[in-house]
This record gives sequence, C-alpha cells and structure tokens, in this order.
Amino acid sequence: MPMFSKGIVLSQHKEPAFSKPVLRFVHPQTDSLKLDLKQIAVQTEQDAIIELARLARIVDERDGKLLYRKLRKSQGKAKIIIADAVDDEPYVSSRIGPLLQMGEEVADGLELCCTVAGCQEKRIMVYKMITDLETRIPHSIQKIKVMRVRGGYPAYQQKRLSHLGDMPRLVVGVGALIHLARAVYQQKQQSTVFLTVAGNCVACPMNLEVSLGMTVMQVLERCGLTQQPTRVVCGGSMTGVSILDTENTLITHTTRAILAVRENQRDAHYTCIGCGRCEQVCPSGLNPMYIHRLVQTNYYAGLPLFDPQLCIGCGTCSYICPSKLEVATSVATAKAYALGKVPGEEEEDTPEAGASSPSSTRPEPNAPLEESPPTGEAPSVPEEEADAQDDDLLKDLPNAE
Amino acid sequence: MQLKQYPAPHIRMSQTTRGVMADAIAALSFLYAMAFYYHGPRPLVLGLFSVSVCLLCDILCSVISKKRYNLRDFSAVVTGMILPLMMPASVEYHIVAVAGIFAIVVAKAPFGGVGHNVFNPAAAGFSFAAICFGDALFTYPSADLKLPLWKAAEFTLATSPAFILRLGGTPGYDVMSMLLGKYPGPMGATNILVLIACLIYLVSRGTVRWSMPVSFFATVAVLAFAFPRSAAGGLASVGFELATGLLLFGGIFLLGDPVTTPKRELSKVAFGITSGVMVMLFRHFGNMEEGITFALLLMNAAVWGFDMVGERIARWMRRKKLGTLEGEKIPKKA
Repeated sequence: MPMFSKGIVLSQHKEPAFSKPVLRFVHPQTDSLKLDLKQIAVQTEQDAIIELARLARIVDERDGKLLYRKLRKSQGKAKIIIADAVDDEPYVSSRIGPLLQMGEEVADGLELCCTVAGCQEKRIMVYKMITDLETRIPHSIQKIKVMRVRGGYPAYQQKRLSHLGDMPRLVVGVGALIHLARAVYQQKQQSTVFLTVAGNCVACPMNLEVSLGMTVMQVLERCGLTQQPTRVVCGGSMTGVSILDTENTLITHTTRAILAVRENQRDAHYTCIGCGRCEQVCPSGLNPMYIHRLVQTNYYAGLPLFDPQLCIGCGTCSYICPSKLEVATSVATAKAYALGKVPGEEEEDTPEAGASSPSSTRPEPNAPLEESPPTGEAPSVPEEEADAQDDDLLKDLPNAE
Repeated sequence: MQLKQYPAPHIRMSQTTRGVMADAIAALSFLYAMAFYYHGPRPLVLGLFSVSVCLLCDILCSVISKKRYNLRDFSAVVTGMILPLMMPASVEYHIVAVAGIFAIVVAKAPFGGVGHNVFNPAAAGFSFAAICFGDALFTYPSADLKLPLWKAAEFTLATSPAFILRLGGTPGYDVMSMLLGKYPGPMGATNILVLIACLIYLVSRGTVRWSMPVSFFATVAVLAFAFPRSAAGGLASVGFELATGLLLFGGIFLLGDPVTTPKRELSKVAFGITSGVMVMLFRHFGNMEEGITFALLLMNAAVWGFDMVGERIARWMRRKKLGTLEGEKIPKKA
C-alpha cells in the first residue's frame, strides 16, 4: 500500500541500560510468595499449566491481559507461539534485556505455552532497527529461532509476519513467559515486573526486576539521580504517561520503563506550516494535521471524514512535527469524541481500559504502599466480558496482506 | 522535585520549522551566489533590501494584530529572498519593495500569518508587480553584465528566451549556456544546474516532497512536446519550456511551499499535474511572457478541494485495507 507509511526509524538510545545485567530490586515479603498447590485439582497437563498461571496471577505486560485467559483461549487452537521482545520505543529495553539474560526461562515459558496450545512452532520476535547495541542479538536463543521485525516505529504496524500468513498465533510478552516458567517450576507468584530505568537524569541506567507496588521514587533512588528531572515518564518514550507524583505512583504489571528527563524547554510558539509530515508518517493513514486543526477550532462536526477513531496512539505525528505541536493529543481528543465521549471531560480509567491499552496505564495515585498487595493490580473483569474482549486474541496482530 | 506534566510522546524530532525554512534559505543563497557571479553585488543588495522590507512588514503586521512576533520564524525571510530572484537583476528597488509589501501585507497577514495564508505570498507579490510595472519586470540585462548599484535599468537590452518563445521564435542559445545560466532572464531562474542541485538538496532534506515537482515538470514536458511553441520541434521545445522563464524556479520554490499546497501524496500529484496544465495554458494564451505565478495563485485557491478529495480517497482506501468498508468494525459515534 503506497499511501500508508512504513513508520519512522528512531534512534534507539538503548545503551547503556541494555548491556548491563538485569538486577533484582524486590520486596522480600512479596518475593517469597509461593503458590498453594493444594488448590489445583485438574486432570490434564494443559489445565494444570493454565491453573498455575491463574493462581500466579500472571499478567501479560504487552497488552495487560491475564495470561491464563490468553492461554485458555488459544488452547488447542494456536499453531505458533511467539515471544514478544519488540522494544521499538527508544530507551526501552525491558523485554529484550531479560530475553538475552534469562533465555532459559523464556524458552521454558515458550515450551509450556506450546504444551497448552498443542503445537510445536515457536519464535522469538525482536526489533531489527536497533543500531546502537554493544551486545549482539543472536540468531537463535536456546535453539529457538529469533525473528527480526524490520521497519520503523511502530513496529506492530509492520508487515513482519507475512510468511506466517493467517496461522493462528499466540503472542506473549517475554516477562509473562519468564513468570510462567517460574510459576510452574518454582511455584512462585508473579510479584515482579521488568522495567528499564533511563533518561539523562539517571545516574546508572539499567534494566531492573522490580516488585509490583513499589513507588516510582523508590526505583529512581535505586538507580540514582544526577540532577532534578523536569519530566518523569511511566512507560515508553513515545507512549508513556508523564507523572507528577513520584512518591505515590506505583509500579504495575504494564510499566515498561521509567524515564527521568531534564530538558531546557524553550517556548517556541510555532504555528502549523502544513508540511504534511504527520500525514506521511501516520501508520493508520490518517491526516493528523486536519484533525488537529478541527480540534483546535472546536469544529467537531467535521471529524467523521478523518476517521480519528482509527488512531492507534503511537505518537509519531507529534514526534515528527517540526512546529512541535501536540498533534497526538488533539487526535486522542478527536478519537475520544468519535467514540462517544464528550470532549474536555476527564476520562475515567476503567480496569478494562487501563489494561487493554498499555499506553494508558496510569497507576492509581495516592494509594499507600502497604495497602496494595502485589497481586491487587490484576484487572477484575467478569469472565464473560473478558472472553468477549479476547475474541480477537488469535488475530491479535494485524495480519500482513 | 518540580515536575511538569507533558503529553506523549516524550521525545521529539530535532528538526524544527526554523530548520525547514533554513533549508530553503540555504538553497536560495546558492542562487544569490550565482547572481553575484554574473551581475556583481547588485543582486545581493536587492536581496537584502527585499528581505528587510518583508521582515519589517511582517513585524508590523504582527504588532497591529497584537501577536507576539516569533523571531525564529523565517518565513518572511524566505519570501523576501524569493521575490528578487524572480525579477531581472536590473530591477528598480521600488518595484521590489512594492512586491514585498503586497506579498506580506495583502497576501499573508490578513489570512492569519504564517501557516494560514491561502495564496503563496511570493507568487502574489510578483504577480502584483508584474501587473503594475509590466515591462520593467520582463526586460533583462544580458548575462555576464556587471551592474551598478543605482540606475541599472538603463542596461536592460537583451530579450529573454521566454520572450522569443512567446513570439513563436526559437531562442538561439546552446545547451551549455542554458544549463549554466548564460542567457538573459530572471536573476535566480536561469542557472538550471544550480536549480536542479537545489531541488535535490531540498528533496533529500525532506523539505520538499519529490512527487509534486516531478509531476509538475513531467506534465509541462509532455505538453511542451505535444504542443511546441517554437518551430524547432518537440524535444527542443521541451528543453526550452523547462529552462526558460520561471518554470524551474517556480516548480521548486513556489510549488515547494508547504502552506499553499495539498498534503497527501495523491493530492500532491494531482495538484502538480493540474498546475502544469495551467502554466502551459498561461504560456500559450496569456498576454505575459511568464504566467506561472498567476497559474499558481489560481491553483492555490483550489488546494482545499484537492485536499478534501484526497482525504475521501484515503478514507476509502484505509477502510478497504481494514476490510471495513461497510463500517461494521469501525465504531460509529454514539
């Protein structure tokens, strides 16, 4: 399709966090939580694995869904299991880092998923366009083939699975696979999450394994701050949420990175010169420039022509804008309006909404540390609703043409 | 810790609007260097004068409309640099001033300033000057003639190839002098090789998309081949039409203006083709030697239409790509 973009190639800045060993920074009480195996009363091996995943309350960090639901959905259906280590956002290496250093556990987790799905094929998916690495990504990890996703950011929009065709697949994040292996072989609950700490204020950027429910400040202090940051970001550099209260913001299952940045923001009040770059890079083929203009002038009636509801929230339009306008914010407003929400009204994060989109993972502020058990973040969605949500699970990723 | 809340994304591309404008300025300064080589210091003085007139008008307009003037916004400088390059090197200063004032005060500021103007300011300014002063803009000094700073209009002797074409004749210049710009013409638009280098530079920097100049020049070439104005035949006509007058310069710097051109690739191609047709119509039936600025002004008024049609096609294509042309998957507004 010539009119849809191939994405933009970002300089990745993964070093020095990527090449350092993944350290553990865990709460001793939650780290020693073990599963109660007496609860398990199932017949088959597949059901046992699913039950263990349920008891361990493993959440897939790539989409915030409970792993046991994904496994149950793909039981006997998926023909290929893919471990997702596509860290396409700059600074973030919280999947590819653990993958290289805990390859055995990832392989074990993949094997367990294969057992559940009843298939043999498995792959590891990494992002190709990382040029600044000091460590080489091998072609196979624990004899599992590593697929490389080419093309620019956002990598999930690239035609990378074309040779797999319409094959039903199960895509699981590397962190969830590691936790699955630990749950089955060590009877451990998921009490930690892998995340990258980086940014120009962080003294020692690294990948950490952090207990769930720790505060952002604790993690930042663990890595050290060289200067006072002006912006602390929970999540990736392209889609993360900038937070204000580091003392009361907690680490959740879908926190992929914490970035502490100081920048000399100059107030450059440029106006849109209509260069059309946002339109050229938009992976959904939208025209963010006109959407931005309509939102700025409050002319919401003109929006249906521009399909703002197809926005995937990747943020490339704002990134590329030479006038430094907040295009992505306008498109998000337009999307909310097109989906039936009143503009200007504060969105309330329902558990589903918070869990289904990794970009909008906003931890609850003002929740004291003691009152938040490490497993309390799991979305409490009724089973039927969740099943309805997961209907498109096997077609999770856009199929290539 | 003093934190501020910012919307995502938290990293930005380093290039700014200023960089986009600076690219255009860099390309234009090469043309000034060539004009300096052929005509001495007068083109540089003209350029400085024009830039200061445009900047002054721009600042004045933003003061009147009570806006804060952004000194990093170089768009007025670009307009000011383009204007004299479209005129002969011997042009009088007051003509440049009138063109610059019209460009900023009439064509740009009333529409809301940079980014909001419907018509290309440089094209509007040149067109206005062409209507007001006519012959003074289309009588050129011969190439290689060093001009004095004052009273240079007395040196205007030679007729340009564009004028010869207009009369139906065949310009007697060989290929090499045409490429190097050794023939009478607008002071920035004769150096074909430098212009092509500028185009390559701007395209490689991403400031100008390749689709529009290419479709524009291709259309002009096809029309020139099909309907030659001179007796020299098709291929020679293609060369003359592309090389004479403001065609190459306008195709790069006037069509390359992002504000007054469509946004989508498809619309850009359609716009380039239609502009090519319009320009050739002006050349065949217009009463002036150069009609590209008039053609572009007419086309500028139609940009919104091009954009909307392109947007409709894009919507059809993306819905077809998603398999949701019927709209069952695309959530409707409640």
